[in-house]
Amino acid sequence: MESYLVDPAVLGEFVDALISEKYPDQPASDHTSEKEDAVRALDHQILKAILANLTEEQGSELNQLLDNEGSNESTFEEFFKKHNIDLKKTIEDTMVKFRDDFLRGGENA
Amino acid sequence: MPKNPELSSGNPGESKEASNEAINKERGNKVNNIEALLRRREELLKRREYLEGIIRQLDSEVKSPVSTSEPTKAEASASNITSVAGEAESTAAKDESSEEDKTSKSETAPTPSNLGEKIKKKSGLRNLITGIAAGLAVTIFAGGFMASYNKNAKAAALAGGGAVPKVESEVANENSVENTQYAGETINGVKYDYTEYADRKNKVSYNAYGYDYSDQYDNREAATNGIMRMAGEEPEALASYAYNIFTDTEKEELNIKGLSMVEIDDKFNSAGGGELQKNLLGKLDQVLRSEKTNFRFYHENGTEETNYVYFVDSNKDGNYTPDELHLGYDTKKRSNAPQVDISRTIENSDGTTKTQKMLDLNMKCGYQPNYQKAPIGVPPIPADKPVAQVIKGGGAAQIIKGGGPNTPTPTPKPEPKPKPKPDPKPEKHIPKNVEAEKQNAGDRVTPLPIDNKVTPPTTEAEDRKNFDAIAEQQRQQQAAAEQAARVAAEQAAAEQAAAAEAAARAKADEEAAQAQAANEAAARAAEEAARAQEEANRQEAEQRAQEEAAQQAQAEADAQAEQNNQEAESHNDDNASERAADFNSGDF
Repeated sequence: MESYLVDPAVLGEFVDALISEKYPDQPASDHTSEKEDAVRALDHQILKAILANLTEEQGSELNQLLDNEGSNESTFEEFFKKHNIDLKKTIEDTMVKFRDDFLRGGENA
Repeated sequence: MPKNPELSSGNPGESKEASNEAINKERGNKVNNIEALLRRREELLKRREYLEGIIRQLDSEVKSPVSTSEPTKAEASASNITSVAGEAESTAAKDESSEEDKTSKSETAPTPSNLGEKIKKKSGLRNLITGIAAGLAVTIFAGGFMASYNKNAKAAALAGGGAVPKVESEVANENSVENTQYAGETINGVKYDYTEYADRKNKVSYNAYGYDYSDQYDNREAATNGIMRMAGEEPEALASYAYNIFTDTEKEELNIKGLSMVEIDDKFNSAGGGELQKNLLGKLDQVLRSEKTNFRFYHENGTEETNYVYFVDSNKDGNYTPDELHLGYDTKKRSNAPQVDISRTIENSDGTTKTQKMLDLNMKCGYQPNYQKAPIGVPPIPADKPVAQVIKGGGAAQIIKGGGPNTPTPTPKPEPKPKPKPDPKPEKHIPKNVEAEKQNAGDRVTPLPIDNKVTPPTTEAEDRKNFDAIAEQQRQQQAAAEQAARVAAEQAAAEQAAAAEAAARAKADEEAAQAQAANEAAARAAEEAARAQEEANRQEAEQRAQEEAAQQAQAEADAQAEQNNQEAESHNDDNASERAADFNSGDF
């Protein structure tokens, strides 16, 4: 079963809006496959963007936190804060860029 | 051979030495620079290798359908590193940026090959990122997003899918929702979309926030998205959620502490409103998706207060802007109404935690908040009116009784005549499907219009006119009722004051009487005591007199006795003398 970083329902709503913008006169059911691909791609890009912010040291430290069963949402929030990584801006830039690329590209994009 | 000015002046040997020293120094510096650049190149190449490894790993997992014209950040970073390393070999290096300082400090560490997969499996990190992404999804599009979503949802309904109300696709009349733009952005940057709010044909009550979301029952993710949808579309809804769900600390950070929900809504209409909306939406999404927030779905029975959004200008029905819509509340009686209760586990300042219910939402009316008592600082609105259900494609309207939050949307009946003439004889005209489901409609606590007869089918404009007349009638009724209540309250207060005064007087009289009785008793007691004392004195005096008399008698007796003795002795002496004489004389 495919795994996602971001809840696919959340990305699905976002992509629904993109599809609606791109194909205003067509029902969403005509673009089911494209939606699935776009959700997967966006999830992938968000993960890449987050990892690109990390140095090797930080990657190792994150790895240890991931192995620690006691790590929760706050733990990771603190980790990114400690290393001055603006997670929100990283994700926002990725989503905005994805939106722009998606809407700019044609059907073959 | 050019003359060397240095060699021609002073000591030729010393000048040459100085020149050589300068040259050597310069050479040494260049060597140092080159070595530094070569070290830097090594570090950058390692960093590039690390990033390319990540990209290779992730790219192997998915093939992206969107080939972007610009490289991603990671790819740009890798290519930049390559070009910088190339430049470092041939030219002097510039000072390193602060970001590169991080890399220069890093030691060679093993790269986790499954870091991406691990991240995807860790729920805490997933929740954090999902929460941020969800909030951004709303704010990135906001009004445009919601308008698009609505279009898409209606298109889905055309295709027979989705939970949004079905909309017929025939040509709409000039007052249809589809022909009116409800989405926009205010001068203060507040985004809104009132398409759903204005779509009264497909809501269960006139002033409800939005559609019936009962199909999201027991689905936390869907309910969260539904709530965020309402919050993103309608600033009024966002204000009501923010007022209820955020803690005081959170409100302080968001600059809404101490404000009622109406005041929060008003703040959207001033400078910085857009920024406030963005911050509240982001925080709301984060709270709703937090593992410390709980959702409980249930069915409500009983009376409660509930929020509505209303407009004041009765001539306007559509094209609203946020400054024209207001938050109000109304009283409703629920009957098996699907609702969701949202509570949060909050940490106290002393480290302990408490779980507190924050929001109670009615799902049938677009997630309107419910309350046990009227919310503070929120005015009541006119009672929910019978909804004029305009049947698309036919133009005939039917007045549906009840109109409460549980009144289901009736199935539109196709009207054969485009403009049916009104029936001159008023008759009851209730669609069968509504009649059949009357039991679930719920009783209205607020009164129905005075004229409780169901009018015959009319045009939409006539319905609107009737509606406004009924609304005005009800407003007057309500004002009269409030006035009567005020008078009654004043009278009751006066009576209560009089009763209190009388009670106080009676108490004072009683106390006075008690005091007087006590005084009299005391006086009597004193008198008694005086008499007793007097009697005692008299007896004492008598006794003393008796004693004195006795003493005197005794004294007299003693005196008499003494005298007698003396007389007796005197007599004896006389006798003795006589006897002696006699003796002597021999006359005995």
